[in-house]
Amino acid sequence: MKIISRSWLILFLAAALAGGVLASPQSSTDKNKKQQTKTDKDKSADQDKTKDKAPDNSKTDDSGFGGTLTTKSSKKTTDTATLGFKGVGPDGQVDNAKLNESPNGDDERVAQLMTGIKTNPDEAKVFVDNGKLKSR
Amino acid sequence: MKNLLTATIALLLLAASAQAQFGGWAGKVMNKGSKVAEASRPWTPEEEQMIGNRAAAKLIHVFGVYNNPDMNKYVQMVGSTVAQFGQRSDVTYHFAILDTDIANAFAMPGGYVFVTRGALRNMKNESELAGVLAHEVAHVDNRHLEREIRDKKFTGIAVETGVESGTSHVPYGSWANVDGMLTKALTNVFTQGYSPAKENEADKEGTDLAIQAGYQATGLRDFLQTLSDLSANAATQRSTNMFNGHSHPPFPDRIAKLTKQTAGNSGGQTLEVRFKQNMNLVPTAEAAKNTQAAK
Repeated sequence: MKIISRSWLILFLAAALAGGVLASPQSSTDKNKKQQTKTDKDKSADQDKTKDKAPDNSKTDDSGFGGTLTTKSSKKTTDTATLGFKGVGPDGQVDNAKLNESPNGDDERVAQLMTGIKTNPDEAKVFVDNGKLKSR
Repeated sequence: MKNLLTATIALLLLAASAQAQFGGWAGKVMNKGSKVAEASRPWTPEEEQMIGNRAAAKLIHVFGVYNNPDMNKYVQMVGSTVAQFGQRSDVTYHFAILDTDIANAFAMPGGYVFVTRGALRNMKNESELAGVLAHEVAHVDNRHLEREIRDKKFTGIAVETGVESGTSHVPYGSWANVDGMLTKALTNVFTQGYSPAKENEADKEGTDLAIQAGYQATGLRDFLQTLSDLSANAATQRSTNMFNGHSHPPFPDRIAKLTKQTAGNSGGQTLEVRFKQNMNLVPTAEAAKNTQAAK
């Protein structure tokens, strides 16, 4: 009786272990699921960030591009400059502290505006012809 | 019966242990291998565009964009004129002026090209601007910064932080990873420049692009001569100090190579008058100080 009880106990342990081994891939799947959830969270955060990055049209365009370059601007623009060696230290090397910073919303907005710049083919033709240059 | 059960337990324990150790280890190796492969593969056009846009935002953060729409437009026109002869049809070029007195130009992946206000101030004509912009277009054409980033020096970040294909639409997993990688890559480019081979390649191909567009062949060479002169003068060398990296080819070497390349290639447009008509630069800080002192 005692032997039978011990055998049952051993069998129970063996079954539990076997269950553990079989369950391992499942827990790995759970881990993957957790990672996926985390990734989804990151993805969602990134999407939010992308949303944040979308150009705010309500703001005045002071990017220096004057809107898109596909339309010829006849207004005489005034320029502004920071007057100086912005972005570099006294040694003329790039300001590492500034370089280590992440771009802020305004920087991203100007980069987005820059992405929107496309040369108007008609204007390009006039520009090339006036300069006696060549087109492809 | 007892022995059989004991043996079964021992076998199961062994299997569990092996699974835990070998499975985990094998998984890590395979995962790391796939990350390395992912980090070293060429970027897709979408990734290049996204990373380039982020790099452009970073440069804009450091230097600012010069707020002069007419001049930015003129630079865009000159840049587009030379870029149409570039090798890549999958890139749309965007040109802008950075608001700093240093004399330099930068090319970011995805066709983002910058020239500084300080560089424009020291140019004499449109062919010099065309030569400089064409040099930058050649960097993009040859994916020089992308290759620097994919180089093992920078992929470490990607491997450590995780590059898992299909897990996110942001390259290298997150913008924080992209920013960290760009900071490393740009710091390297700013302090050391590209390798001499890459700079010489951009000089040669850029000059070819400017010639094809109908500009005078010596535009880039002449501007490099100006930079060389600025760097030799204690009063102006600050504007060119970024060129004094260890691996950047010295100006005389680059000028000599370009002189050889352009020998016998006369003709082409300099467009000095048009350049001066379009330049509307405010004084540099130094010039403003000198003007004040003179008064």
